[in-house]
Parts: sequence; C-alpha cells; structure tokens
Amino acid sequence: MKLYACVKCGMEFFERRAVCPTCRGEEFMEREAQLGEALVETQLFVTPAGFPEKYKISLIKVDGTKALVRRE
Amino acid sequence: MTAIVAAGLTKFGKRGESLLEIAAQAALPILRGRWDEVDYVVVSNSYSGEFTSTSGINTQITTYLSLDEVPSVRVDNTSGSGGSALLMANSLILSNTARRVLVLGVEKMSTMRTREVTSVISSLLMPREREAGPSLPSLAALAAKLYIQRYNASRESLAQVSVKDHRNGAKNPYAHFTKEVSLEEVLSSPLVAEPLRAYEYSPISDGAAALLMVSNQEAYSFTGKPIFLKGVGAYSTSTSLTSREDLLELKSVREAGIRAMRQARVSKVDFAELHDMATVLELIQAEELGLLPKGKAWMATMEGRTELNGDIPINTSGGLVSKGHPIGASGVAQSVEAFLQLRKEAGDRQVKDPVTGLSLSMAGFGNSSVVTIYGVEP
Repeated sequence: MKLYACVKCGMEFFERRAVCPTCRGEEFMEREAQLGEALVETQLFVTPAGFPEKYKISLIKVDGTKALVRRE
Repeated sequence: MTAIVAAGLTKFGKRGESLLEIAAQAALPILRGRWDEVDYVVVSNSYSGEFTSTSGINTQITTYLSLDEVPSVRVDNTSGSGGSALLMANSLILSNTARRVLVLGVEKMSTMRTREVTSVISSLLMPREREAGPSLPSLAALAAKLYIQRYNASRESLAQVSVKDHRNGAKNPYAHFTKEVSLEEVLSSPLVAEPLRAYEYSPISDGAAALLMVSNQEAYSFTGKPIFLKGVGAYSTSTSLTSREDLLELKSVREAGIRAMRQARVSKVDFAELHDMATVLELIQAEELGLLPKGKAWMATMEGRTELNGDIPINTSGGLVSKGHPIGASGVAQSVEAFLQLRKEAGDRQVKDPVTGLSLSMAGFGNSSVVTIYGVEP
C-alpha cells in the first residue's frame, strides 16, 4: 500500500495533499507500507455505477494513518 | 441578524416536472404580489449539471420567474448547500448588499437510476478514497457498526429512528413517504450496506423549498409572525476520511453547533431538524450538538424522547429519511419546517409551544456543517 509522507515532519497520508496539515511542509515522498488491522468493515449491496455490484469496504490501519480498501 | 417572513415548499418525491418547474412551485407563493421587492436570489443546488445537464441554474431560474434583472448566485455545498445558502443570504442582508433575499433550494434527481445517483454523490469524496468504491451510505454503515459497538446500542434503536421519522412524515403532506412503517418492516427492508437497510436511508427525491429573508427591522412590515435567525454557525472537518481520528466524531457538527448557540445565547432548543441521511447520523448529530448525552441518543430514541411529544423532538418534518432528500432543497426545507413549527402552523406534527428551534445542514459525511438557531423573537 502506497502512502505519502511529509519530508519535513514524517506525517503520513493515504490521500495526497499539497501541504502538510501539521508542519505546512510542501514536499512529500512515496513509500510502501503493510496493511494493518481492519478498524471497521461493511458489505455493500448497492454500489456506485462503474464498480462491481457487491464488495466490502474496509477502513484499515496503515502505520501512521488509515486506508480505505475495497475487498471483493 | 435577519428574519424569515415567508416560506414555500413543493411535495418531495419522484416528480414529472422539470427542475425549473419544481423551483417555481416553491417560489411562486412567496413572490406573488412581491415581484418588485426581491433584490437578490440565492439558489441552493448541487447537481443540476450531473442530473439534468444544466449549468447557470441560478439565472435560468430567475429568468423563468421573470426576475430577469435580479442578481443571483448558486450555492453548492453538496448535501449541506441549503444551510450554506441561508448563511449567504444572512450575510448579504447584514452587509447591506441586499435587503430582501429569496433563498431557493432545488434538486431534480429522479432522472437517474440508484447506482448512477450513488456514483454522482460519491464524487464528493477525495480522489483516492473514492477510487476504493465507498458510497456515502456505506460510510454511514461503518459509523453504525462503530456506534453499536462503542455504546452497546441495540440494533433496533437505529431502526426506531426510521419508525419515528416515518411517523412524523406521515403527518407531513409534503413528505416523499407519507406512510408509517413498523420496526419489523424497517428491519426486513433490503440491505443497502450492512447493517443498514433501505428504510434507514433517505430516498432519491425531487423537490424545492423557498424562503424570503429580510432584516429584523423590516420583518414586521411583511408579516405579523416573522421567525428570526438568532444564530448561524459554520465549520468544516477534513473531507479525507482516512485523515480523521475517529469516524464517529462529526467535529464540524459539534463546532458549528457551539458557534450557533453562542451567537444565539441559548443552551437548549425546543426542537431540531437534523441531517439524517441515515438513521445513525441522527443519533451521532444529536449527541455532537449536545441535544442528548454522548452515547445515549439511541436510548433516548427508544424511550420516545425524540418523538413529537418528547422533551426534544427531532425531525418533526419526517427528516431526510421520510421527507426525502432532494440535495439542494433539503437544508432550505429544514428552515421551512422551523418556520412552520415556530409559527404554530405545522398541523398534526406541531410540537407544543416552541420558542426556539435548530437545524443542521451537513455536507458529505460531516465534511462541513451549518447550524442555525431560530426563534419567535430576535
């Protein structure tokens, strides 16, 4: 799982940002991280058009942040 | 501050009329006899492009209403557009930019099928999170699981919100659903995102709502029963869900509420219209706003405290779950309900002698919120 990390303070993000909300740094590096524990998960029975008709969405811990992941 | 001196509403639901025709139905009762008085129109609408391939909806509406030369603006803040439109109208009047503002919320959604609508609404998510495929209803389902787990809430209590909302909606001739539902019916309706089921979500609706807003000083020249805005608070939370500490915390709701209550100088209200896109959200929002104790809103719901005759009636209109959720119209329609309740014109769903009311208009999954406090006095 790819994460974005602030070069200045190390804060990590799943979603890209132009500016770090903690230190206002503007440089980020990409790094790979292992998925951790699932915090909560739901099975969808009505999904957005363009996606499969049935899958699970999980909010998962990944190092210093979280990730939103689809599991089919 | 400012006052609401007139209100209009269309029936919510699947409507055959066009976006412009629906908008006119809500606005005309307010405008008749006042064509030269309105000097600004604030249109609350989020998805005219997506659902009806229409842009510049604000000037199309003013032209359709033959207010061709009246300045207007479209306010889009997704499902929180209505509260934001009210905030803008209030600011226009307080800054002396305008004197008499027509606030018109409208959405036409039934042009698309459910999965397409779900996709359109999901476009408010940040790009990478959207790519994973969550729907807004599925985020509410995650919150429902966390809420039940953390507070040891009964599954039935979430469904009870729907039962209560439909009971109120059955008394509201403008509601999308005007039929009561039983706890069993709610709990056997089709799953949308487990554990939540179809009757626990707002339906896809068309509809419009309108308000005429003026300064406090002018209010009594329009009506003997103006309803005053006592406080308006706005706040945002990160749209990136993976950046949030806790999915159960709707910080924008809490902070907007604190600001509105502080400005209004009230610590309690007599009723509240909340943004129950899903049943569980009504519970979380009631707690964030301090209307009910943290972790206890589910219990209060089971005890009937949020019913019309309870100590804090919530969603007397039927809420989004029963009244429907035409995105741009919803927040404005909440103000219409507050207007009717405080004027004691809410018919069978009238709460007893209210003097203050609250509405929460929430964008996305609490991405931003506007809380408004209304009163029978300034």
